[in-house]
Amino acid sequence: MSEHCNSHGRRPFVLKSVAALCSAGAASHIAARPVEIALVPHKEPPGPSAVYFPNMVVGAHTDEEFVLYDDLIRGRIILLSFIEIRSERSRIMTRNLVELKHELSDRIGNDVFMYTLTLDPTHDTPLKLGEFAKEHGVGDNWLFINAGIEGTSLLRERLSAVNGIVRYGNEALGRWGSFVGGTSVASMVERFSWVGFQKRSSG
Amino acid sequence: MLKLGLATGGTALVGSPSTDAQLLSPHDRPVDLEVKPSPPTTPFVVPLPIPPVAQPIPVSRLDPPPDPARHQRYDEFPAQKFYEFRQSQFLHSYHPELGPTVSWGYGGITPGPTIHARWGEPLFVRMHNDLPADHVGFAAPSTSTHVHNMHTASESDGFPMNYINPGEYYDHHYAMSPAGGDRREHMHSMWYHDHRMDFTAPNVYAGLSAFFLAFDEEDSGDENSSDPRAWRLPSGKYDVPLMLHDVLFDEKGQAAFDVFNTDGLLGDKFTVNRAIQPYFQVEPRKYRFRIQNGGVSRFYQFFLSTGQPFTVISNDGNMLPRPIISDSIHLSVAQRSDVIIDFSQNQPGDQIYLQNRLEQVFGQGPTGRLLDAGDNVMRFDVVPLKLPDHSRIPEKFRPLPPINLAEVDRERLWVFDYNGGLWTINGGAADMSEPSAVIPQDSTEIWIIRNGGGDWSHPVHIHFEEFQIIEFNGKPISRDEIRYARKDVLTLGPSDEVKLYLKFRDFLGKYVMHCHNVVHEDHAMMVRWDIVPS
Repeated sequence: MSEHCNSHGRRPFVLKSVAALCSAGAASHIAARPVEIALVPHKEPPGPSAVYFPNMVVGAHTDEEFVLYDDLIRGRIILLSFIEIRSERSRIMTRNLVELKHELSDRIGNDVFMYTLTLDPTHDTPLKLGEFAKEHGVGDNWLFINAGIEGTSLLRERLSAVNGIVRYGNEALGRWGSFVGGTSVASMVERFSWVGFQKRSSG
Repeated sequence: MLKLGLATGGTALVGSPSTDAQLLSPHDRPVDLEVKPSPPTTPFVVPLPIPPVAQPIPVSRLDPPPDPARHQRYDEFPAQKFYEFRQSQFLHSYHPELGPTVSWGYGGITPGPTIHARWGEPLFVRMHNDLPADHVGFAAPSTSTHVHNMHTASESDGFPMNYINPGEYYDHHYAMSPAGGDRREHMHSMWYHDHRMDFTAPNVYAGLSAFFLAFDEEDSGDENSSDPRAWRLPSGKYDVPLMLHDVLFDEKGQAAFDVFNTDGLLGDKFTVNRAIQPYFQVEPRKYRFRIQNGGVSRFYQFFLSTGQPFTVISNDGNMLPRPIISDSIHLSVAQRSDVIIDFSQNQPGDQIYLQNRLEQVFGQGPTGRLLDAGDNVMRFDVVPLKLPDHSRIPEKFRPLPPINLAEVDRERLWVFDYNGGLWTINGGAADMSEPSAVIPQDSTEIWIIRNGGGDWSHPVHIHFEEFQIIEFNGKPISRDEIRYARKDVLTLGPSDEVKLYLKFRDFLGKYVMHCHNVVHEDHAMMVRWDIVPS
């Protein structure tokens, strides 16, 4: 496979140093210009992961808008997946996450928050995200987010976001892990104890 | 709308919030050594720290006592030496100009205490997790300790899912019996480090790494030995472990780590035994340096500034059949090389730099280009000789175990690749709940390791058994090459394909193979394989 340069070549110094390594990626380096983002001042001093999540307004499949960090991320245990709804990989992952949501039903919306960010903001409009969510029966307490073209460009880089992976983390602790969307549900469930460790009763 | 917003814990916006338009670069990642390099530090003002040798304790100090039932073949190899370590958080000084850095380690230090083991003397190590459960930062206070690349039972191998949380402990039993009972399988320079599922890179980076050295009658650790079997390699204070970690620091002197990076991470401060660019006083005589690359994603090619050669005596901690003279040594992530440097022709006052000249500008792997100058990682300062040098470099060590292709039971292909943003092995991502290969005990196998990508490198690490390279890109390995050796890390460059010979002996259970660019490992470039009764 050689999708690497297209999806991951990103650092400007790469252009200076080893452009020849990654000619397909060169275009994406040039394209990834600074973007003007409207930031909302933080309501409170930001937590340890705020640097990764610009406090910008994003849209959701519910036709609502949220301030990304202050409203959705701050202080929470989070499951953040990335999709492009035209991709089969996204569908496999979403079906898996629906099963996970059933397993964690009493926690979702309480101490675990589920978000899915589209990496294809032009195609995956909030309306289409809503249809996708309905098609997969995702139910309440799970937001599908469209951050706009420039916001997505920024988040793609900040979060090394690629279609089909899931970031799980505890923002208050700054602790983040990652797994791929095809991971078994049991394995995904276990991971939630890893970002808010509790002493086990035995062992 | 408002209801859903509340239910998700968010507050749906009503009206437009006040905003502040800012120009942000997608390239400007929160942690990036190009954009936010470490604060400057003066090189060669810190003496090289040498980790202390771990001291065994009486078994009576272990409460509860070891439980032989938890370990395979414990009764055959009852532990003779016992250790108890506590993993904890503390302040560590990488450099006086940086101030103290919040670090993790074994026994309150990083690198942790060096374990000195002997083949034939089984060890028992109890590892406590005293890390802070509510730690704020990139590392996860949950651990699984792997002795890289000890030949040990699965339950003591640091399998990524055999983790302990704060307040818990884990018992490890190291039989100190070579693979197949074959003395040619002895290993000598190993290291122990964290291997926690999803968090190996940040936990090792935070400080969870240390040396594990194993001696025997030949590599006896006594350069003055009268035992005719002893090689009499430089020993004691002339046998010096050098553990490399490249680290990026923030403006407060704290180690910085990009928790969302998936390519690999580089630091701009070269540390040796967790000190930035130290100096080390050497006498004009022979020294043995056990050089180990403990970093996250960096590859090295080392030279001495004077052009003096290295006498390479081991690869991945395993003695070569005979010493090889080389003007440079290449180390990919997790690799080790023991070298003898002979300073006897140098004069007191001479200063010699250990230089890395391998260019690497991103975490995926080196460019392959050798720089004219490179980076001075540490400095050797020559001082007068105190005592005569009785150490020796033998003409040969021990032969490699034979490769017998007639014994091969099966061949497996493992393709390391990249698929739309995901690191993969044979197209899949790490799943520790199921083995990707089930191997009958005492099998002999050929593993073909292929790099499906043309732009990146993978240091491939196979646990438990050492391998020998049969072919590298279709060609056999010359006896004059340093990689004509038993190995546990394969440097897989772009588009490489390598054929390996392995046996699977002595213990049963779950083991792993993974990319030791530990960012790749944490992002699922790992497979589980099992040894089952034959």
